[in-house]
Amino acid sequence: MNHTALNRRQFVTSMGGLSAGLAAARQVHAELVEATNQAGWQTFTPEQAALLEAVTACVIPTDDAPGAREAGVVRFIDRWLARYEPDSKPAYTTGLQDLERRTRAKHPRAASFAALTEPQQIALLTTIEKSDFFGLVRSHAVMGYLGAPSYGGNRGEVGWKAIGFENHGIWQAPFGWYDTPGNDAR
Amino acid sequence: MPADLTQALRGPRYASTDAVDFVIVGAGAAGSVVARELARAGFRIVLLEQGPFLGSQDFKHDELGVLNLHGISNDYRTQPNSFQEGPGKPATTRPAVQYGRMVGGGAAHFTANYWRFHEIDFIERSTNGSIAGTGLDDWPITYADLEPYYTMAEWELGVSGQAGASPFDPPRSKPYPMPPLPIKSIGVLAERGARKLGWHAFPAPMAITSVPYQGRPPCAQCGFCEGFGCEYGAKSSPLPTIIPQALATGRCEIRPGSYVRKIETDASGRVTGVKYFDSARKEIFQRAKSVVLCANGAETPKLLLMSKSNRFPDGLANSSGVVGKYFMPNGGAMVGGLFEHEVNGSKGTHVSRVIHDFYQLDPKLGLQGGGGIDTRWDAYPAGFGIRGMPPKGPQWGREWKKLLRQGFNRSLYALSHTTSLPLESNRITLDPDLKDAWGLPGLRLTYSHDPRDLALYRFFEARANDLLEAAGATRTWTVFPIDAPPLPASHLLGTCRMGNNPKHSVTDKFHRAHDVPNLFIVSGASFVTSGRGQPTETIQALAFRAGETIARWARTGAASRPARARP
Repeated sequence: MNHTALNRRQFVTSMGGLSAGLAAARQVHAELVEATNQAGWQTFTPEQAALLEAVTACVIPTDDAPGAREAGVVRFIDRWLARYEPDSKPAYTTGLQDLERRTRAKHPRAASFAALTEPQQIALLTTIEKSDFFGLVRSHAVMGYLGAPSYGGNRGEVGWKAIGFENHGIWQAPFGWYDTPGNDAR
Repeated sequence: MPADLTQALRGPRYASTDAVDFVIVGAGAAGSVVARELARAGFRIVLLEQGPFLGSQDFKHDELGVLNLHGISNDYRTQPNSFQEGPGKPATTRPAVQYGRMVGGGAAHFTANYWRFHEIDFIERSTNGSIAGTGLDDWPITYADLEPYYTMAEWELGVSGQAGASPFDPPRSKPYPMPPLPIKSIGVLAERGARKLGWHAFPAPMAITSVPYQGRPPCAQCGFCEGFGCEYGAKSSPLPTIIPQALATGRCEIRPGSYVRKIETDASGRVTGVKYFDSARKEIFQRAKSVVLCANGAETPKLLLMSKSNRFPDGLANSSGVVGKYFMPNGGAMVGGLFEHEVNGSKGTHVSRVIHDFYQLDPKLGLQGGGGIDTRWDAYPAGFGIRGMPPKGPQWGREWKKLLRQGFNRSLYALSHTTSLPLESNRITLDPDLKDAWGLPGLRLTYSHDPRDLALYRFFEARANDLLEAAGATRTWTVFPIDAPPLPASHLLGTCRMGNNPKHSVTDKFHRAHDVPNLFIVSGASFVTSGRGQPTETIQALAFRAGETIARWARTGAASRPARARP
């Protein structure tokens, strides 16, 4: 093919055909991901998972947009640690134990951190927000919220939608408000 | 991929016992250029590359896979680094250097900012005087020597830009081959701020196609440039340009997955070939008449230091003792700005406008060197959420999430790129204890900021703030602490500097090792000064010049003759 003869319109059109194929592939992929998510935990016990869900829901809460819970962030972390970061598993084990110990010390009658009210949870997490463990959970939670859905988080691209990111592949000017003609006196 | 296609993509097959004309180590910005030039001149080339040979089909918009899991860069899980913040300080195992570990190298995953150096970059010492405690020196070549090769790089690879748009530009013999890329909101805001301040924002010269060029399509503006390979072939990296041209000669064999562990020499001190691990970790000795090292400013000194022998007890080509020294990462400040309306930086190429008003600072300011500022958006969703937002204020929870949602499409960065002073104590060495997955020594970086560099970064931090505020930012923040170690460093410069004096440099001005007549070094390692933060065009201009010179010598047999007999 003579690529130099390929003008912008033809180029964009040909990519459109590709996008349709991609959409179909994405659908199949999404179904596979969902099937995997129905399976059991790979890293955490159900108790650890419930505890971590409460923690990550404080890090990325649900407001008028979905948060960590809806994005499946704990599923993401569970798989990420199993596949790519096994060295960080002990930090989760001890970090979550430590959080429960702090919960009992502060709230002797509470069954678990997960059972506290949101203000109580936030107050407790604030006391450990500078710790390595919290930093690790925060990073992983953001990755699970805003990484590609194929990793098990960002279900239905809820994280991307919340921040206004579209993995579209092709854009054309004007890109934003300021480069739209008439909006900014150049 | 079918075997015959793979075969065609990798060129001829030379036997390891067949002494080819050149083994080139590293298929990145420099190595690919040198390979094409030498193969076109009729020589038989084996081009060795640590990483894989990837194509468009392999490049995905997968932030976690490409960036967090080091899909196309060096992976610290198999090649650990150590870092020491100055001599005598404790060394810790942590990512220290980052490079493109693939055919195409860093030039395949770079942002594609493509700046020439200016005249001053080559003559800082003779212009401004020496600087105490540093190894600041003039280059053995000038801007005028390199100008034809800058032009060659821009036209051979394909660069978009507007000649004459910056009043600070050095002279050029030809305009850019393509017009500038379409302006983005990040560029409009730079122009707005610069206009108020009396500065000059000009269209960023980018190694990205703005129109169809040499069989490649114009950029699709997908927004995945920095850190990513370009699936459209619009980024003018070696992959869609000079690599296929090198292969088309039928004389260049590319061997991906080849990790060189030693350059071998004979009793007379001449290079005889290289020992490397292939992708199955089998050790192979490839014979060669000459070797060209194009393995960036970190792996190049590491390989020379690993190539010790009785004749070269301090490492190959290291009689000067400066191999690995004078490491320069470029510095600066990254300042974010939040705006009222949508900027949508994630759509389109990453850099739009550049400001060179502070390229060379008035010595009266008491600052050394200078730099440039660009406005950009090179964040991806997870990276922005983890470390791209204001470091002060809430870092999680409801308020933080509000800012995350508001900020992603309404922010931009003013990134400054500055000179680094060449310090002897900032250096690459072999870690005495750390081993990589092949059993080779881990790479150690010893680096601490010179206080004069830190003062420069703070100057640029203030100017970036000025720019964003003049452009109307409602809030600004410095992304990384100014005095934090620059880790992992990705501009890997100065560790095998070129020069006229064999006591103070590793190669001569034509890239031939002073100590070894048939060994050449061409990469960021060759730099004598750091320039203002965008090294790739200079690396490639040096490579075009070196390729031409080495080919000329090789035609007369002088590339492998003793250095004294060179023409």
